[in-house]
Amino acid sequence: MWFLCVFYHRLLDFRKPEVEALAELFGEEIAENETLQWRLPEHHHNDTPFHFVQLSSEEIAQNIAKRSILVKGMYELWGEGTCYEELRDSIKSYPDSRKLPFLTPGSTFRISVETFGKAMTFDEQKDRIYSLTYIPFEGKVNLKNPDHNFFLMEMDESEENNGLPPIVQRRIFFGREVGFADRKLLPTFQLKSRNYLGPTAMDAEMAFLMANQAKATSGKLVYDPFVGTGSILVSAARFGAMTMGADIDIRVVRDGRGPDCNVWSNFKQYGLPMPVALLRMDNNLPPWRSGLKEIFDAIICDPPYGVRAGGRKSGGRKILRGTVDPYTVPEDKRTDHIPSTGAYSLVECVHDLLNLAARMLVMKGRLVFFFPVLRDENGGEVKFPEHPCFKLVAVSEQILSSRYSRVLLTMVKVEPYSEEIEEAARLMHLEFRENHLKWLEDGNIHSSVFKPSDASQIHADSKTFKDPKPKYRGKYV
Amino acid sequence: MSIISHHDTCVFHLRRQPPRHFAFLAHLLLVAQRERERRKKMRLIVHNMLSCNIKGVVNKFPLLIEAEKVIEKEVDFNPDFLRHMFAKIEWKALVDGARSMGYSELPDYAPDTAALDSDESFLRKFHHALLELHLDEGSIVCPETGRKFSVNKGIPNMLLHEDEV
Repeated sequence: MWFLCVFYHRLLDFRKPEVEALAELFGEEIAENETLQWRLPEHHHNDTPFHFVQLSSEEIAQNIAKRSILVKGMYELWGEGTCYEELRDSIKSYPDSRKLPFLTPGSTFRISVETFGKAMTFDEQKDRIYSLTYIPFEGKVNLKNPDHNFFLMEMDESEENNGLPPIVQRRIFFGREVGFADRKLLPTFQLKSRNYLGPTAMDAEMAFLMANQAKATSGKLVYDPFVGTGSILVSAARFGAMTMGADIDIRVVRDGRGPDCNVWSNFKQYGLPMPVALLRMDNNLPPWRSGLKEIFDAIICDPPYGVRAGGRKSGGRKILRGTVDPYTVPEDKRTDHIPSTGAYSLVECVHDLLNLAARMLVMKGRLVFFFPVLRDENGGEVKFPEHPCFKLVAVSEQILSSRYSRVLLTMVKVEPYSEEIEEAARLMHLEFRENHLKWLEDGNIHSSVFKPSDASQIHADSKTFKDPKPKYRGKYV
Repeated sequence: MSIISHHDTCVFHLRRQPPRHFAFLAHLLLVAQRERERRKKMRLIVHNMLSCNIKGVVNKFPLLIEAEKVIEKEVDFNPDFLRHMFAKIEWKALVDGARSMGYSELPDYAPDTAALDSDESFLRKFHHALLELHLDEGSIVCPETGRKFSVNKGIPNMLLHEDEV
């Protein structure tokens, strides 16, 4: 069954993967190596908020809309067209057997007008609603709590196409609402009202998107190896998952900023169950018992990539470089000794993460993490880390500046973990590392983010040149 | 929920009898402090996952528990989660761990998986041992080297010293 899926016009790259993940979560059967079927309205561009998606039942569509962050609503389409005459013909030709059950005398209904790229006065809206008299509504109008919600959605008819590329043409849709999103979650969980924050706390919208990509739900165990202030786990816990987190910085996980401002208090603030565990450990030398495997249903994290926070691992700077031998800690100083840590490069960190996930995720478990990329002016293909146990199912880019962006990668475990695989993964990692040597040079990402580029200096010199703000911004939205 | 209700009763008292004694305020603070402490703990589910990863150590699991302060806290009962975990748990380590924290109701040998569906009292005991016993202060100790990993405010510190890596 095809549904009209209308999105919020934000985070364009994240929209379809979210629906795909949720469809799987709510039991849509998708054959192996296949994804959901999507279709665009005529003369539309991929960035449009209007998409058609095929789902097996109305219940699944409703569940997806209810849980999703970026879906505005799911609708059963009754008609569409480029003008109101076309819309009328289209609605009239839609089978009565699909329409009449929702138009019965005993029922209540409401018609809402939505626009994209333009605003409409109440009078204009009323005109459009009254023009729909050819639909045999027999029920009563109820604006507050109707049985059936109908939507008339109209796009801008001018040439400008606010927010979309010029090839997109005007289209009008009429449909019955099947499910709608509950964005109330976002104001409740927004970071500005959160007690305990760190410099890299994940914003609520993105954290929920990550939890959705990971299919977090009741009875599942979700792990974040770089837990920090727990902002990602909070979103997973909101969806009912059991959570567990680790961090190498004990001050962040244990002490926080006092008894009522720490990772635990962030969960308490929203009445969510506490994480089953918080640990202080080094992901480079994880203390898991041998034989422990396939215990987490999902791993969600935002690894430190050295822009706002750098990774650390055991061993001092000098020890890691090999200039001094590891020293022996005197017996009497052991209890309060603070072990030194050294820099933990992104490539190494991602390798350890993939290995951890390969071993500790259940089959079909999901690994969801952010990976930074430099935005290559030459349009070169970005190579993402790979692992023989994992299949990459979604790549969503969030552009952070003109020079770098971060990409949310979703991987599914498709092969069980074994020692041969670990070896193969090590070789893959070495190759990846080779190709990313420039990344390994100290502070490379950091400098590309914070140093002015050559290009911008030239622009600063010739003040006459100024890019007009583009109407169509694509992924920037 | 018990945390909130406890506070509520205190507030109620406060309204009925305005506190004239410093001791009463001190008591309130103490209650708040105690409630706060009740929230953060290491549970046996984690103890069951951890081992001592000092280089060269062979006998690294299970870590022995030296409990200084153990607290029990009610956690929502989720049979699906427990069934999922049951297969992953090293049973003996759980039984011994629970004993060293003062709970000895678990059977010595892990029952058949069928018990998970038929025997709710077993599932409740398993739930209690796995999730409701919390080690607040103490250590977990490597069975071979005796290295103590401190558990402070419920958070095990598994980071190794320079000469153990």
